[in-house]
Amino acid sequence: MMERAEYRRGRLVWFLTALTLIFLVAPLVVLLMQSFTAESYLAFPPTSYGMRWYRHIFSDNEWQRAILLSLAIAATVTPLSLGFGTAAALALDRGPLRGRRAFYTVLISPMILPGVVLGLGILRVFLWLDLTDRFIGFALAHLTITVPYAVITVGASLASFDRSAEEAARSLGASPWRAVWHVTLPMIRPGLVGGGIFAFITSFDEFIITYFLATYHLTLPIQIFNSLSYQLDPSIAAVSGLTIMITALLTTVLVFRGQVASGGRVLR
Amino acid sequence: MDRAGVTRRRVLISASAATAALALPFIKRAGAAEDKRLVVYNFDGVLGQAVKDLWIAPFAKKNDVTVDTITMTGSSPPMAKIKAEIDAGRPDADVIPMQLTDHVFATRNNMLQTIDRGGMPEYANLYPQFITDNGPGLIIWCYGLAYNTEKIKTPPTSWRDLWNPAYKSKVALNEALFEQALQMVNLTFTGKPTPVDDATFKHLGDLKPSLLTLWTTGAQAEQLLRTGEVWITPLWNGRVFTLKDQGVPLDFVVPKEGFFVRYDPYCIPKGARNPGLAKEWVNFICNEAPQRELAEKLYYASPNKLVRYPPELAKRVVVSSPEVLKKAVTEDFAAIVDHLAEWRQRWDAWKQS
Amino acid sequence: MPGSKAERRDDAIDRGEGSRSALWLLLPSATLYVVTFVIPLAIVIVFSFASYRAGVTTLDLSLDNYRAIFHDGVTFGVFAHTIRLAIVITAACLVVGYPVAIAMRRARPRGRLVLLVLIVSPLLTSVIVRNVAWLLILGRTGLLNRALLDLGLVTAPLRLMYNDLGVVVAVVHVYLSFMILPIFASLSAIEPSIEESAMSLGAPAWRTFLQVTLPLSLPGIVAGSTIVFILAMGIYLTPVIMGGNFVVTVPMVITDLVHNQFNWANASALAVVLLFVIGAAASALNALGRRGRVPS
Repeated sequence: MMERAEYRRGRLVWFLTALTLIFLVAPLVVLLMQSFTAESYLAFPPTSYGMRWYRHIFSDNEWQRAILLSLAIAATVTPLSLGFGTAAALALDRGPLRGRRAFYTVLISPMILPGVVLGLGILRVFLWLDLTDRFIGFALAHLTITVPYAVITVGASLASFDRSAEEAARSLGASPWRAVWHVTLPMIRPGLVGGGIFAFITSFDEFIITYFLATYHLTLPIQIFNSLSYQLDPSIAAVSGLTIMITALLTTVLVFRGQVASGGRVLR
Repeated sequence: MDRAGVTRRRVLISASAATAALALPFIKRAGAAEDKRLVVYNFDGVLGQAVKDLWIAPFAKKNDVTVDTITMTGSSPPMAKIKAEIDAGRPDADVIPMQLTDHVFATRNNMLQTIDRGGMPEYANLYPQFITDNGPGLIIWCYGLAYNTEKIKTPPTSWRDLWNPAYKSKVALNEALFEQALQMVNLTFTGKPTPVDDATFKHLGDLKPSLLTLWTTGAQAEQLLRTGEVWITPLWNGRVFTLKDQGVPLDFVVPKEGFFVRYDPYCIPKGARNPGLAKEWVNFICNEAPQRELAEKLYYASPNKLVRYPPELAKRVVVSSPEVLKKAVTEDFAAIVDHLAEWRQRWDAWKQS
Repeated sequence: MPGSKAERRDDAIDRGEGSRSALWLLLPSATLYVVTFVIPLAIVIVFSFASYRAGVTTLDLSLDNYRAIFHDGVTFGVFAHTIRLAIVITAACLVVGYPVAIAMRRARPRGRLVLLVLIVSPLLTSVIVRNVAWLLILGRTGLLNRALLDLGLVTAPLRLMYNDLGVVVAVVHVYLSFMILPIFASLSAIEPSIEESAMSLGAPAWRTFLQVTLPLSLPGIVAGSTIVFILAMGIYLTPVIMGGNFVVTVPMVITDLVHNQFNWANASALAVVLLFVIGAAASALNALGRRGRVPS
């Protein structure tokens, strides 16, 4: 009787998940189809198909530079924000109880303060420090708004974490740092992965603060925004289509090659 | 090293690489000599492209200088950002086209240089009402009614047509020009654009059931009109005719109560790196040839008296002569800015009602 | 050795007092924040007391901006509406996302990766692009309405956009992954043996879920809800496109004040109040989450 209930619940979960996945993927399918339109405006379904817009973004230097810049910033910021954020989460978890809430709130505040206001503030500071329109400026700003994600997700993982494994390591003679590095961190890996993904996405997608800082070095979101205010043209569908197809390709490669072993370990 | 260690090592390596990347000073682009380089804010889309082709390229070629553009989104420069830069003594650009309301803010906050009229020979050929202390007002656009010719068989003649119950859920307004919308409502029901009061919002309340959406960018408006979701909306004359040329069943009418005319002053910020070259360029673009070419391409009128419009073009440009200009609504931009905060709040309240 | 520094530190940790030296780990973030957050925030706070008149902000300091938020009759309503929306969005993400987190936990590593990619996929496109896609799906002449009309399920197109519904759909769509991943991480930390022993003692599956699994996943729920709530309180682009500008949120008001009214005074005051409200909510949620801590 128990197995049947379990089985029914199992089917329910998968059914709901399937519905949700359709919901998640539907707009992307629409975008993908749109990206192959030969028209100069967006309409669904496209009346004619072609590679026009992919040719456009590949031939257009501006799009290429924007994509590369956004990728470079996000790739730089993600490991750093994980590092800073994990350190901070550990400090909160292992540190004194007093002031924990205050520290936590301050740590996540850059995520809360509206970007339009934070961006202007950072702009003023960076104008003074001559960090505007420069990679390092973008990276520092992005780092500030991505650290909160690591603090929250790693913090949650630490809260769920059963310290007995770490204590066992300590009782065997390991220093606190070795115990954390070799025992705790591997066991809270899903929290780290989550924080890393959120950091990457947030940096890649960040618009308003970067908009204030940038003049000639445009990131992808700024490029998209610029190309969309006068006219909704399908080049953005092509850019999205490109991102989607590359991700799909990478995933397929990872799934069907033996790399799955380490991929699965990442999410163990 | 165990397999978990491989992952952690990778993290460590990428983190160090990242730190190294951050430590490398970012090399700023070596540009042309400063006195031969001009930086201007430019529009996006086809308008920006036209400015690049007709106003920037010829000047750069003729004077052997580099002109770099910074693209604006939505035909309004990022005034907050520009102010921060001016305060720090380092504005990014030498020339900034702005909205008339932006211009009021900019002058009240001491952001712009005063341009000596003597130093601008082409001013003699401009209609005086378009010349501000900080630069000439170019790209004269007007707001009238754009409507779908397939869905609306008899052309509308009045702003009141927006309230026509036959167009329920097919009407839209421009949120970004909400203050103009308020004046339009007043114009329709009282004959004068101001004051904005309870009656204004009562009429707006009557309009609400007909409103599908409030769009913010020209791109949204275009999309709505193309798909036929919106049949009638106030829109720029230039845009309507450009879309019409592309085959979209649209037309433009000047409502009988009056229409709105605005233009973009081209200004030079305080602390600009190259004000001399900036003035040269602004003077250049006021000339008859660049002005006429833009008007022919995008149907926005010119303040230059020497520009002549053939009849077909004159109809599209709308503001083809001082006589037509007299029929436009007189807007007091200083007063608009004074009331902006109060109007905005009432507008937000109306939206949520 | 009894009484040694190491042992006293261990005792302190066991008592839950925490070790002071762990605070050093805050140094990197603290150094970064001073330049990129604390100083900008100080500027914002100073301006929140400034005066704004007819386009000019002057540093005549007063509490007027804060008073206005509560007394001008409009801002408070916008605040309430924004919070309501954010709560709905967070709740929707929780309800829709939890089953997916369970599915991820049950999947094999390969399936997990695929699920992860699908869940994160909405984030691969930028916010405006996503909203444009929703326009094409939910609009009156869009995919969904056309399908419903063709199938005869409705007689007139449904109003799925330019209102709160459109905003909620589009925002839940993108923030779902921020809810799912932390919940998954928490579920992963639960030893299956705990659930198995509960069931072997005779508890039905649903009871085990409610009384064992769900509480143990609380830190993940809290983390996900915190992130989604914060993000949902910050939306200002989606309501413009999906809400047809009829939906007004606090960040939209702040953006308008800054970009169209040159009013940093009121914008800063609103931002400070927003920070305060959300910060309080987040720290309260965090305190709730620590109750789910696994006792060691």
